[in-house]
This record gives sequence, structure tokens and C-alpha cells, in this order.
Amino acid sequence: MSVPLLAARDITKSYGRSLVLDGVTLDAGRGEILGVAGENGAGKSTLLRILAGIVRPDRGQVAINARLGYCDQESHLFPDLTVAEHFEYFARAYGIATTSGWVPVRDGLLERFRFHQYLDARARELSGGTRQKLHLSLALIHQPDLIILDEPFLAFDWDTYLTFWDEADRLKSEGAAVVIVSHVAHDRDRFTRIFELSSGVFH
Amino acid sequence: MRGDYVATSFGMVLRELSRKRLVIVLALVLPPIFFAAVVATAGNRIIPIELAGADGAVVSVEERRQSLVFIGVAAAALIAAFFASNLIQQQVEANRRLVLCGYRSSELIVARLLVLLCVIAGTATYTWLIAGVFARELFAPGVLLGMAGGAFVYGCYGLLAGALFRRDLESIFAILVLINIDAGWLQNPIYYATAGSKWLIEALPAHHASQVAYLSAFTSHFIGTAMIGVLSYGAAFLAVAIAIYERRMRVVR
Repeated sequence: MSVPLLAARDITKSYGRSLVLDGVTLDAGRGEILGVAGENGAGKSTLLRILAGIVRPDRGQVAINARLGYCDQESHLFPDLTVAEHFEYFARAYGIATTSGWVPVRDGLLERFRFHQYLDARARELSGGTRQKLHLSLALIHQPDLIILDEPFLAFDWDTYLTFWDEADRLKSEGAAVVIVSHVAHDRDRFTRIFELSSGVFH
Repeated sequence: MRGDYVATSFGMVLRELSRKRLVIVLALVLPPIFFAAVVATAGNRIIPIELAGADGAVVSVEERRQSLVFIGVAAAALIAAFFASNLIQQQVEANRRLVLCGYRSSELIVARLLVLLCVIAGTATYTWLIAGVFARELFAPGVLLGMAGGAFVYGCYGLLAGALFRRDLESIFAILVLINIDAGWLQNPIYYATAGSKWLIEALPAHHASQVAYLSAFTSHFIGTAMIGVLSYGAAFLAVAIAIYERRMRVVR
């Protein structure tokens, strides 16, 4: 049996007296697209932030055996840096800046998500949708094999939404695991598995 | 600590800062406005001032020149504090994401400190040059050191305010209150001479930097002791600011 790319065990998290996650367990293997759904405030984003390593759980463990790409719900960018500079900065962070391989990956993302014309535009000049495209692309530039995405397509138009799913399918076919938090009730057949989060546990 | 990571971050932070054109224009305009206000309002009578850094020695100086030194240190401190606060406060979440992607928080901090050093050097030199236009004897290198000292101490205080408060309104308030009371008021040696609680003035952050500038402009007194005070104060602010920022940047993995 192959080792899962992501193995989360008994994740528990409270904020004050409010129990947000109560012993959540989740595995993600190669070639899977997992959905985490639930009401507002159900703890979906908290779970993903724990999986990504941003928030420490009160109890439980997360093991990641993969290169991680993480895309938060909000587009946290540098307003006065250009799109090209963002890619350069994050390529350095991922440790791939000195290799030439990341440039074709970047160009492919720019092409597929159709924002190559904004390469020299500053982030503050971009529309909400284009900022989201950049935000998402920064999570993919190092060709991760585990991608954790929190509401990645909220600001997308329909074409970009479809492009997103093409990209997710491509990653899946290359053996990556994709974990997506979403409110979206339709397109459920695009997911390998969907976990409904309610009252801090999966249903 | 990886040099190429620091260099990339340094370059990006510098680019971000250099693109805030309006902020830079305001920073360039501020010292001439301060100096012009002094020249327009301060007289040319000779007044006695008491210098704590010269063991309380009293020296007679022209009121306008004394005021130019005083306001120069205050202007350099104010500009450096605002830039420093902005450097550390902005885009915390984006920086945190960089840490998640492989940067070490220490590399991001060092890059910011290097940018801050550039800001301090640039601000102090510019303010010093403008001061020299109004009074040539203020071109003394020690006056530059005093202004750089004020910018350093308050630059580090700005870092602390930026690290401590998540929103800029609070940090701006924290900076304005202390700089106004300290560099903009109590460090004026006219007040020091008649002050009831001199220990309070000597305990404030801008005290040593102001003394370096005054001693260099109007005496030949040794400035080493005051410089140690400058460095100690700045280092203390810096250590606390780094500790807080590092904690905010921390990720689990």
C-alpha cells in the first residue's frame, strides 16, 4: 500500500470555548481530488490552515509526504510588485530560482489562465479575478504533488472556472493530490471524494 | 541564513518601497519644511543651553542654529520611524506565505533590516545636507551621526510599533505620541536646562542621539558615550521587534 501524500489524524481545534474541529481524520493519495464542504463557520478553512501548517492543532498530527502547494482563501500578494516579480520571489522561496525549469511552468500557467499580458503589471493594478489567478499560480509554480486550495475559484469567471478544473484534472492525472474547500454544491462529480464538515466532524 | 534568499527579499522590499512615490516625495519635503519653519520663527539671539552629554556643561549658541539641530534629529527620527513601521507591518500574510513556501523568517527579517539601514542612511544624510544649507557649521560629521542615531533609534522603535500593532493607525499613533514628546519637545536643550525631572528626559529614546548632534555641532566633547546610548536603545527596540515579528511569521511545519 502506498504512503498517502497527506495523512491527518484526530485533528482537534478550539477557539476559546468554541470547538471547531473534533478529531477530524483525512488521507489524500495520488490522483485524488478531495472536496471539503460545509456551512460558513464549519471549520473548513481552519482545517486547511492546519493541513498546510499555518495553524497548530490543539491535538492530532499532520504528515505530508509531498511538495506542498497552498492557496489561501484571500489573495495575499505584494501590491507594489509585478506579476513577474511575484513569480521570481516565490521561485526563490521554493528553492527553484536557480533552475531554468520554473520559467516554462510559469509561462504555461500564464497561458492557461490567460493573464500573460499582465506580467509587468503590479498586483494592485489587477482585477480581483486576475489577482486570484496569480495567487493560485504561485501555489503551482514549483509543480507540487499535494495542492491544498481554499475556495480557489470564488473570483473566477466561468471560463476561468472551467480552466481551473482542467488544471485540477491535469494535476490529478500526473499523480498529484488536490484538496479543495468549497461551498459549491454543483460539479460534485469532479471530486474523487467529498467530506461534509459539520459540528467539527466529517459526515 | 542563505545569502541568495536574503538578496532576493532585499531587492523585492527595496522595489516595493521605491514604488511608493508619494510617500517618498512627502519624506523629501518634510525636512525642508521643518527647517524653513525654524528659520522663519527662531531668532538669532545667543542663548545658553545645558548639554547632558557634556556633564551638564553650559554653552552659548545662536537660537536658530540650536533649533536647526534639534529639528533635524526630530525630522530624521520621524521619517525613519514611519518607513520602518510600514516595512514590517505591511503584507504580513504574504510574507507568512513565503515562509510556508520555504523562506526562513530570519531571512525576511534580515532583508528588511538591510532596507531599513538604507532608509536610515539616506534619511540622515539628506536631512544633514539640508541642515547644512541653512547653517554651514552643521556640516560637521558628528551632526550627521546624531541625525543617523535619531533615525536608527526611532527606526527600530518604528519596527517595534509595526510588529506590535496589526493596523497602521495604532502604530502611527504610537510613533507620533513618543516622537512628539521626545525628539520633538523634551530633547530641546532649552527645556532641559530648566527641567525638574531631568532623569525623564535622559531616559527617552532620542536623548543620546540629540546629544551626539549637539556635542558635535557646538563643542569638541567626546561623543562615544552618547553613541553607546544610541546603539543600546536601538538594539533593545530591535530585539523586541524581531522577537514579535518572528513569532507572527512562525509556521508549524
